[in-house]
Amino acid sequence: MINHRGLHSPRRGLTFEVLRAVPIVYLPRLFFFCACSLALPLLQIRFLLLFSRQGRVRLQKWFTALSEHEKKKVVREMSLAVLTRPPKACNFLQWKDLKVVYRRYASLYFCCGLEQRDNELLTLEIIHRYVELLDQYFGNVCELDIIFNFEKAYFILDEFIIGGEIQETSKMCVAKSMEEADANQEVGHTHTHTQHIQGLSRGETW
Amino acid sequence: FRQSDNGARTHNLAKLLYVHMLGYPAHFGQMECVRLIASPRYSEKRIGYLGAMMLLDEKQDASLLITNSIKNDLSHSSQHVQSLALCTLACMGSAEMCRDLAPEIERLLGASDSYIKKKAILCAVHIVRKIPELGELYTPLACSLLSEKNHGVLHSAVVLITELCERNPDTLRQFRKTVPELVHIMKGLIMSGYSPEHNVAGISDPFLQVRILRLLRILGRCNDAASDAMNDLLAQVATNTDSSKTAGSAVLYETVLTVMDIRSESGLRVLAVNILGRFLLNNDRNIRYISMTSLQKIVQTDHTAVQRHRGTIVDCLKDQDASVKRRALELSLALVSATNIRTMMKELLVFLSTCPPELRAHTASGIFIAAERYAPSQRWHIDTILHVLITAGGDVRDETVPNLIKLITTASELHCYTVLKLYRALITDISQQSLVQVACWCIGEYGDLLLKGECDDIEPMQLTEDDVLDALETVLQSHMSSPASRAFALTATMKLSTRITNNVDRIRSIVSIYGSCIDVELQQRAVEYNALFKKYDHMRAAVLERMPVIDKSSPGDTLGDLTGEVTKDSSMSKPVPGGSTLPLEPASQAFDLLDLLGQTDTVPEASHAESAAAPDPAGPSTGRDLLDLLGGLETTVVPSVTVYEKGGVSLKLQCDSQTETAVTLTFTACNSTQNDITKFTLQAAVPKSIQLQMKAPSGSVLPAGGHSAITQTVVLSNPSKTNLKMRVRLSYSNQGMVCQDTVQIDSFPSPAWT
Repeated sequence: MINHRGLHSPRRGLTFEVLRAVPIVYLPRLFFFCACSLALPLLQIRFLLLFSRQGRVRLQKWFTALSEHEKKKVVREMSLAVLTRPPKACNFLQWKDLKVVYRRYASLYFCCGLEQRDNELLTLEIIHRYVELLDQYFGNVCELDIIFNFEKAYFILDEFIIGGEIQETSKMCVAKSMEEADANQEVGHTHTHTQHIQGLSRGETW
Repeated sequence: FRQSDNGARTHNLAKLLYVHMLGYPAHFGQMECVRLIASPRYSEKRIGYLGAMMLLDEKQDASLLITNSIKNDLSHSSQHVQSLALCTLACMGSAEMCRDLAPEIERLLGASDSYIKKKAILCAVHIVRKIPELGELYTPLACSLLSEKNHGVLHSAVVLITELCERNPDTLRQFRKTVPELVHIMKGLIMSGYSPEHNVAGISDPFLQVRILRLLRILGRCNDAASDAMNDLLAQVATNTDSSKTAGSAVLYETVLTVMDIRSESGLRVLAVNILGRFLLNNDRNIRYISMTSLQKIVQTDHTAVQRHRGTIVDCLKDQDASVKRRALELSLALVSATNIRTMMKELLVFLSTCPPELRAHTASGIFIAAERYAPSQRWHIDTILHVLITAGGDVRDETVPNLIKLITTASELHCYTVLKLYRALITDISQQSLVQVACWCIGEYGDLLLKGECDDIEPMQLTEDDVLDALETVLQSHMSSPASRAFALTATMKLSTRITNNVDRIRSIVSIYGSCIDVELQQRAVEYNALFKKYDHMRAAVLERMPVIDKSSPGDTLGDLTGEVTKDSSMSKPVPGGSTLPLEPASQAFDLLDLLGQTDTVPEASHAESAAAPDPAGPSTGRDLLDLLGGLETTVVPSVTVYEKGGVSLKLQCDSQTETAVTLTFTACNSTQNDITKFTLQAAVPKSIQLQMKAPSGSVLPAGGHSAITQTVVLSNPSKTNLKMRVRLSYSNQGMVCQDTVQIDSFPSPAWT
């Protein structure tokens, strides 16, 4: 498990951390950005973005080939478009030629970009399923988990979605394969994982 | 990274990836990724592959370096390593990588382990997306995959089949045989009891259900037999699915889309529309949005069914949410018909006054189109347009003004009414430019009616000539008026000089003031009008007569450059500032000009010609336009050169456009033999300094007898401006024989217009 404490900014105050440590699934809306773009105009998720209310990207998964510059542009415009939406608004947007489905969970926005022919309601379910998987893996997941264990979040995503399509519809299977994969990891890394969990539980009692 | 300390490598790379996510450049980590992927340790591979997916994409050259690693890992003993490789390939595999690794994937598709199988299938999906031809490789296996029990594999298999069917119509026909099997699987899903593994809010595996429905949609499109087989199933899904949660709604939504797309029986369609109607009444905004989106798709075909829900849709116009409002607006505009025009228009006008600014222009143009199509009376029509101009005059398009003017001139009995209304609107608010322009024009034309002050339909106003002139002067002097509006006002003032009797001097003084205005257009007009007063006073009355009714059928009314402003002074040919010499001769010359224009109706620039033929060309400003029009009215026959002609097949080359560094050419191939020619392809080669881009041809079959031709566009970019040369190779098959021929093109035809 990789320890990212070194990257944690010392400027962040206590209250901010407490806010961020609130478990995600307890709060009704988490912003989940999934956007999937493919050059070919067929059914697919194009990209999946997670970002915080301040616009910091926590996870980005691109299923099409875009240049770095374009990716940044998309991220910036997406965050602007979604962060300005009122809270009770519809979860669907039209952005350029893509449909964007987003959901807010606690302090994170999960955002998905879809082709024109995709089923938006199903994408909402996909987003929810991903959050459930994260929750199952991390136990009461919160934004801090995703920040500190981003590679785990990616691995879970890779077990759930490949190439923009779902590969496994059963929660138990995904969880099982993650466990097995983690067991395969060499011993040195699992040690830091437990360390991290202890650190998190300390954080939660604040 | 330069240190070869193994333990820290994964940490470092992970840190780099985090930094990359925050937005900083991290391309120097690419080689490290490649190295980590090649390492034997699983944890390093994991991070390496993650890095590859984040930092590399198919556009980077370094991605090719990992092809070999992926190949080795695909045959690794541990399935987790295999899965890493598959995942990475599916995420960022470029076309070359896919081509190399396609056979490996095929092998894995036959593997027994479902964990690997499902990933391999999705990898195959990616490969098919990148290189459609390789779809043939996977087609035979795809059929057998449908009999799998594992939902993951089944889901991926359905995705693969969907992808194959969408790319290739032959495969589509082949897979139609699987419809019964799919129906069976679906039924099993619906009927099966609670399965904790796959259950989402009471629906058993909605992801798989939606996917199967989508595949059924593709298979049933345009095919009666397949559609019949699905009818029962769709009815069952539609009635049995519980739609209180999103998952159920998602399945129902997909069902509705499928029913609409295939050749379903009418009972089923009615059921689908009813489901959408139910969605419309749902409290959840998302579901309302979805239902409106789908209703939009079917409003053309099932118009009456959607009309039933008109009330709810119109209510959604008042919703808070911008996305919902937009959908409701589009749907409402589509639902307007002759019977409900009055009520709908009321609602739409209310909406216009409260809608968000980005939707205003769309609403306004929608209202205009609807009004034009279904207006029950002219007065209603004029009222509606006026209302729109008053509320949202700034957002309407430019051609609204001439259109409205046309409308007004045709409604001759309403002139008095119209001009009174416009005058009232003008004195209340002069910020809406289109309104101001129309008002000025009308006041100028019908000023006498305005001064009479009596009208049946509207309460009378006693106006003096001074009031009217005051209004026009306000427009002239206001800083809010655009130059076009000022021009309208000036001309209107001029026209009033014949309509009113007492204040002609005031008009003369206004006009002469503007003779030294900075705006050239205004100055020019003022000078001309001054001349009209001084030298041609005897003709003034004739010149400033009422306009004739504009011919409503003239397309694209761009009457000169200042939107519809024309006066009848063709009888004078004024000196043109700018140098083009229209001789100062009496009417006959100008009328010749008119005749010339009138006869050139058949030329593409007819819109300008016709609209200029009806009313007379306005002064030299539009006279200049006319001359330009004349200049542009040359024949637009595009020269094409035949570059190849042999055995009944001919290839013509035509130059579409030419700029300094790029040329666009079109090849047209024709077949004058008795037999159809198939697989016609063109290949082209150019010298190294020129870049060639060939667009897709319009087809590859040339029917016999020259009935239709194949065209293909080629763009050549020539930055170094060397001489253009091209070698073209044609290949086609004629009655089973494959022919190939090469032709060199050294001289290119000049473009149609430079």
